[in-house]
Amino acid sequence: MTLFLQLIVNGLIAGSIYALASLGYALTFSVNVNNFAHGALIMSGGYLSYLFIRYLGVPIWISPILLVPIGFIVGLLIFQIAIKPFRALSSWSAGIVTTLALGIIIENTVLMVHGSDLFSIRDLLPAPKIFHLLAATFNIIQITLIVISLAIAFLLFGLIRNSGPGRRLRAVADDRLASEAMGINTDAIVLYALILGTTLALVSGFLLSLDYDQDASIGTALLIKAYTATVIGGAYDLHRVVMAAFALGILENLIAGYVSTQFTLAGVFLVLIAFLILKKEGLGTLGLRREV
Amino acid sequence: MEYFVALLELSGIFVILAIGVNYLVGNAGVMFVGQIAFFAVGAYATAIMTTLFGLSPVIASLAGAFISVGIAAAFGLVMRRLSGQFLLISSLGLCEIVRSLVNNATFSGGAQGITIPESLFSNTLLPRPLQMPLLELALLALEILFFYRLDRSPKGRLVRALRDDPILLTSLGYSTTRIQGEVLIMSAVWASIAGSLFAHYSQYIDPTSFTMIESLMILIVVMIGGVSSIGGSVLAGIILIILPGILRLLYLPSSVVGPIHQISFALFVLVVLKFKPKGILGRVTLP
Repeated sequence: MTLFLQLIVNGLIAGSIYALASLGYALTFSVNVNNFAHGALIMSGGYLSYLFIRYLGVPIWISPILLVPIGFIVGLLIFQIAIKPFRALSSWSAGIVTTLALGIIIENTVLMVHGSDLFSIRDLLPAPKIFHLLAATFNIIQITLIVISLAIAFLLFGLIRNSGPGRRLRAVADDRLASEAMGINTDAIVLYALILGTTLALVSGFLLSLDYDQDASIGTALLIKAYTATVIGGAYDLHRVVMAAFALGILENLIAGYVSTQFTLAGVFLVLIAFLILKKEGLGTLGLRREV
Repeated sequence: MEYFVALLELSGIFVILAIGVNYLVGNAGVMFVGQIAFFAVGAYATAIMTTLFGLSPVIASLAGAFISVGIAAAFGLVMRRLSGQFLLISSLGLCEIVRSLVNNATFSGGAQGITIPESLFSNTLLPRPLQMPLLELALLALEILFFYRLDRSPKGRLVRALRDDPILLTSLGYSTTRIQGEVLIMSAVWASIAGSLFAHYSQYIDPTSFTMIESLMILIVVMIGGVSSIGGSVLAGIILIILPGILRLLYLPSSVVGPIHQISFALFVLVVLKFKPKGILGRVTLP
């Protein structure tokens, strides 16, 4: 029972990081763009924060704020290099390969600069205050992490529900041709989704490295988790994507605790494949459009 | 020189793998890229059966191919519910499941891997340095002939119809699931054979050689060469050799060569897709 409670708490902590990562992925997914650089972006968010704090002496609260303009620029670059030139091809796999190529470039750049060693902000901070609740243990950083993640998630819900670009994004996600006919610039909306997605990836990488050790190759697993939460959540309903991300975090920790840490990603994949086979439309209300 | 021969041998193995992937992705339009799973099965079957049971390499690789056929057939049953990007992701899942199994099972040596003694090919007349290149050339020729003949047979036309108009195919009374499954099995057999070759080539295998990133790299090779083009896959495989060869000539430190190789490969695919969206020798657009 002690182990179970602790695993649930750990799952919630991991889930709050996956929530932001998955929201970023779901935004671009909903406008039919698969950003396979997403995992590498999450990793690089953690690495950039590590560089800022370790070598530039940036205060820890400032580093996620610095990631926002970087996310804007990187999102723009991804759009210009990997998405826009291939929009006319109407080939979904070209977009996957080009963003994957960008992800490989990011990952290997970090590998060249830093090597395959672990990095984490956690080691740069003073030892955090530890709490006990029932039988579970957690620290102040982990609570902050969940709070920040949920705050950003709710901010994003509001942005997508009420802002002009958010409404246009939902329109494009719902019916691209009709939105184009109504004069919506779909390219601009895809760019908007990519910039938001990239920024969310970078910030979730910062949160990740507050509590976990990372290395340059962690991106692929994170990409798969973000993808899985997106599909299970149903992509168009961001609330459910967040719930799916938390469920995934808990599932992963249960597998790690009761089976083996070696099988977590395989377990995530099994859940994803089961969903794709049995309930492709996910838990979302709008659902993914089925391909004929 | 030895270095280039070794690279050539390695790329021969990946060309054998890539042609099988290309037929499935390019001709059948089935976005299954998990051939690394079958590659791993072939490699591990060869390693385990030759070293632990002392079986001949041919029997071991046939057994590996047999197991791969079983896995492919099982996945084929699942596959009819999946298409497009969902199939691509699920096939990566198959890779990860196979990788984590061999990474944790005791029979496969776990993370330590298995060493295969060099003496396995000693009972042939050919001198040692010629064995691997000739074997590869023979298998490559056989594979190219196999897929070339298949492409021009009635079956090959059905396979292309599966890519271009699956609804028409269904309306004519053909089972798309069955054709998909058959092509997947063919592709799996060749991937498994390539894996067996890989085990003999590297004489040491561990789970790090069979990650899903490798699968995605094969997809990149296929796209550089051109979808649905055997010659394209061979060409892209040759480019795969030249790249690290050039890097070697630049006298870069070895810790940087690996990342630079991958980066230059990624840049290469971006440039190729930008100027030749069908790939260098491709005839059809990507799915």
